Amino acid sequence: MEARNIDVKSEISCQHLYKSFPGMDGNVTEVLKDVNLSVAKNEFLVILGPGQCGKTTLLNIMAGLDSSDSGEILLNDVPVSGPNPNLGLVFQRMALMPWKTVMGNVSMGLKFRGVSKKEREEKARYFINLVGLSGFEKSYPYQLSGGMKQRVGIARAYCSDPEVLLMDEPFGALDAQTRYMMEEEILRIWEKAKRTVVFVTNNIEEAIYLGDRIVLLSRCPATVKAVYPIDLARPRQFTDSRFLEVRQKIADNTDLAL
Amino acid sequence: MTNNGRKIKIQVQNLTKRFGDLLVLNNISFNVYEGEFLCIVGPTGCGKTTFLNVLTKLHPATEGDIYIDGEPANPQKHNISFVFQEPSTMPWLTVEQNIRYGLEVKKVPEEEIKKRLNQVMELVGLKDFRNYYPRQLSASMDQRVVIARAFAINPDLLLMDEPYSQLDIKLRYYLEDEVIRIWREMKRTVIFVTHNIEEAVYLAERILILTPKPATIKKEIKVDLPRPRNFADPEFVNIRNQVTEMIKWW
Repeated sequence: MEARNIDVKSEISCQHLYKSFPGMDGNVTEVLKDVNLSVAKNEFLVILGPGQCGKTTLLNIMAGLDSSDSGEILLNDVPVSGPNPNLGLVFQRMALMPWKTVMGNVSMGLKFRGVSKKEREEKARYFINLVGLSGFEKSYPYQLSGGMKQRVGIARAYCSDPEVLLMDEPFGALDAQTRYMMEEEILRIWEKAKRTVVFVTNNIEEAIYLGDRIVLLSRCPATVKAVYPIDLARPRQFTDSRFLEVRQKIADNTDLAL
Repeated sequence: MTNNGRKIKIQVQNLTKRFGDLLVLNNISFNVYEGEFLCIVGPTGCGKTTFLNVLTKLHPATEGDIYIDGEPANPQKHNISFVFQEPSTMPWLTVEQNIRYGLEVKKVPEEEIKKRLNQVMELVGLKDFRNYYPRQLSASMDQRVVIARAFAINPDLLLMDEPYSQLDIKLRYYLEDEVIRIWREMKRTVIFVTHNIEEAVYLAERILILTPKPATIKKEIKVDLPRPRNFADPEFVNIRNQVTEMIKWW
């Protein structure tokens, strides 16, 4: 097998990933089938795929939260074998600790790593400010709107200073308008604090608005169906004719998972 | 006001809702015509859920009322269907039992129930799945059960609350086309609420745009484009941009 799509200088890459899960009926469900992709340093890469195609499984494996049956993840040429502080995660369901304040949630990763209180709060304050939540340090998650909660999730991922941010449909639970706002926000934050981002979504519009490149997955078992570099200038306009053209092209090539 | 000579089916008159001192709905009045597909869009947090809950009589209005065929809306007399954002099939009932449930509540005769069951299951392509349970279905089939159930009672008014907001685009396109097809076949009056402006332009014959809270109607826009609509068509884009301009807060 030739190693196409793989750039040895990439920051993070997936090489020949396979993954199956045993089903309730005793059959095995193949979820990932020879997935190969590589992400360059400070690139904003979007992984786009239909519902239930295996996107989250792929991201979990990249994050070291799950293991593949074969193949490997390389982070700066070193295999990833478990959770790694150099990989920051943002979840669709936010996964904030309800009994912790915004400050407590954002600074938690540093606390586990034994960083002093003064230092971790200073750092957390910087990222809370970056995501636009200054003044809410002492608020609890239940006091925040959906968009604000996800800002906390983003600040928390940034706060551990990871090299790569892995985002699993972070705006999937938000309404369409809040989503547009957060898409603008995530780009603003990324421009200010460049990291390598792997962003998973099932929303074609969102993918084209955000990505330097889009990796399109097939329906389950997921494999890389196509890669689209998006060379539209930012900020992109959703109703710009070139935007709509790209969208049509990708939609036509997307599997319908009924 | 007439709409292609159609008669008025639903009249909403001076609808106001307060929770204590908080005014959520501010004197909303509009008509919906028989067989019309009306979309309602508004900025996030404008009071959309309250609006639906008052429309369906789940919550009493503080002032004003809703009339169906000229009579005050009464859920015991009129058939009002509701399609929710969250999956809402009953997991312990089969596809057929889910669809049958509302008909039994309304005491429709058994003969008629059988006839309607066959009609709607045929229409949404669930005939071969009548004895399946929801957990055995995909997300899109589950949605089709809900749609079939909603249409089966021949609703005077069908309310849909962002039923497709969590689905991926291709599946959404597919189900949007489905709902239009079924609506045309069944000729029901639909109010479809969404945050998604493109979806509203794709579906609606008419769009009502709400203001931020306290909600009132800001503007009404007719969408007179042939179906199936094309989201890249300049006229479509133009209407979408126009609605976005009126709502944009982000």
